[in-house]
Amino acid sequence: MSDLLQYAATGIALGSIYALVALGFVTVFAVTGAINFAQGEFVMLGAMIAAQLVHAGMPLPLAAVLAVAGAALAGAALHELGLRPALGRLSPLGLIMITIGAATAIRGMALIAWGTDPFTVPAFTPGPSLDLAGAAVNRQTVWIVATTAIVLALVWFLFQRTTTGRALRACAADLVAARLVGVDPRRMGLVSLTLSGAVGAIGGVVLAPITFASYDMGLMLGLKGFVGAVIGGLASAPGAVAGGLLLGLLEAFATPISSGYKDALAFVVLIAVMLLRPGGIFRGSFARGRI
Amino acid sequence: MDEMLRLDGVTAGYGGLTVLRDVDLSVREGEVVALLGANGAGKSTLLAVASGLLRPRSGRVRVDGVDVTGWPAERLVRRGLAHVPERRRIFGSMTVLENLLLGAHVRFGREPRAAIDLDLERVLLLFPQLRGRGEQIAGSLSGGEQQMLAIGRGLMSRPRILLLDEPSLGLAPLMVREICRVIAGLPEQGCAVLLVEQNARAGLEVSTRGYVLEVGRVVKEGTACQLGEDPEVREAYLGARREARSAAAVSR
Repeated sequence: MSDLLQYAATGIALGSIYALVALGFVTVFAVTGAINFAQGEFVMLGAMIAAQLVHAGMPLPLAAVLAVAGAALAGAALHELGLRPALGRLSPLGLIMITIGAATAIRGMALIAWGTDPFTVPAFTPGPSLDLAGAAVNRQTVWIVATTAIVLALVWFLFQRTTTGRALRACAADLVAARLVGVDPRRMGLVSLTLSGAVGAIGGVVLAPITFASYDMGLMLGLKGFVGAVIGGLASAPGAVAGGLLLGLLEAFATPISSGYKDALAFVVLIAVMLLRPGGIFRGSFARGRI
Repeated sequence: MDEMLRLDGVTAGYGGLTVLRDVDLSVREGEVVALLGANGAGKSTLLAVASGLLRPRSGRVRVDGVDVTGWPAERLVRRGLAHVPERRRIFGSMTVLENLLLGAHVRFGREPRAAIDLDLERVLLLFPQLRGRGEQIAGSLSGGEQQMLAIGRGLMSRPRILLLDEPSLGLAPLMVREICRVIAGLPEQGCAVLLVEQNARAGLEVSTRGYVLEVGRVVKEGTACQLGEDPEVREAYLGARREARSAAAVSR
C-alpha cells in the first residue's frame, strides 16, 4: 500500500511537469495552429537559468523569477522571429519545421553557454522526506505539485476571467470571427507563446532540484508533454493537464516493472492514442473545452 | 450625408478566380443598403473586401472618409465597422455574455466598463429574447437567437457601419420579421447598414437603397422602390407570381 502511494506521489510530481508542458502545447496550438516542439526547451531554460543564477550566488526566489522571465522572453522571440512571419503562409508541417529548428537552436545555444555538465539546484526547503501514510514523499515533490496547482489556477483565471483570456479563447474557437470583433491574432499568438514559455519554465525551476539540469533535458520533457497533450486531444487545456498527469502516473507505476522502458512507454501510449482515439481519450467538456 | 462606406473600382478574388470586377458602391449615414444577387454573384466577397478579410487586387475601400484599403479586419473594427459574417460564426462553446463582451473587445481598456454595460443593455433591449440568458452556452441557442446574438455582438463594438450577411438564412418567418425590425431601426441609432439578403423581398422592405450584383459586377442600383418595381429585379429576385404582394409591400 505504501509502495503504491509512493509511486503515485512520484507519478503526480512527474505528471505535473508534463501537464505544464502539455498546457503550453495546447495553448499555442489552439491560438496559432502551430505545434511548438520548442516547448520542452522552455523547461530546460527555466531549470538552467535558475541553476546558473543560484550558483552565481543569487537567492533562489529571485533566480526563479528571472529564469521564468527569460524563458517567457524566449517564447516571445520564437513567435516574433519564427512563427509570426510564417503564420498563414506555411502549412502546419512547415510551422512544425520552424519550431523543431528553433528547439535545436535553443539547445545548441544552451550547450555553448553552459556546456554538457549537469547543474544541481538545492531543494527549495531542505530536510528529510515527509511521511505520507507510510510513503516517503520528497519535500520538493510537494513544491512541484503545489506550484503546478497554483499555476493551473492562475492560467484558468487568465483564460476564463480576463479580456485577454477571452480573446485567446475566441482565436481558438474561430479565428475569422475573432478578427471580426477586433482581436489581433498575431498579438494573441505572442501572448500564447510568452505564456507557454513562462509556464514551461516554472516547471523547469521546480523540477531542477530533483533532477540534473542539463542543456538537453528539454527534448524528452517536451515529447512527454506532447504525448500528454495528445492524450487530451490537443484541443483542450483541462484535457492536456489530465493527459500529462495520466502519463506521469503511468510511468511511475511502470518503473518497478522495467525502469529501462519507462521512456518508451510514452511513445507506446502516443501510438495507441493516435490509432484508437485520435481525438483524445476524454469525452464531454474535457474534450470540447478548447482552451 | 457622410459616406460611411465607399468602394471604388474594387476588383477582388481568390487565387486565380476573379469574383468581383470593378465594383463601385457606397453606404451613407442613415441608410440601409440592400445588396441583392444570386448565389455566387460575389455578395459575401464584397463584404469580405469591405471588412478587410480580403485584400482587393485593385480599387480603394474607404470607411468614414478614411482610405482603409489593405487594412486587416481587426484594425477596421476600431474604425467603426462591424461585419456579421455568413452563418453567424458565433463562439458556440462560449456563453452568450462572453460573445457579447467579445463584440466590445476593442473598447476594453479604452472606455469605462459602464459604457460597455450600457451597450449591453441596449442590445438586450433590441433582442429581449437574449435577456436573462447570459450564462447560457451560445451554441445551445436556436438559429434565430444565434442570429440575434451575432448581430448583437456586432453592435457591441458601437459600429457606425454594420455589414450583415444573410441574417434571415434558415430562420422562421416570424424571426425574420423580428430581425428586419431591428435592422430597419439601426440607422436612427447612428449605424448605417449594408445588408446582403437572399430573401430579396425582406431585404428591400427594410432598405432605403439597393444594388444588384451579377457575376461580380454591379448591374443595377437605385432606391428600394425603384428596384422593387424594376421588371427584371422582380422576375429574378422577387418571383413573378408574388408580384402583387411585393408591390404592396414596397409601396408601404
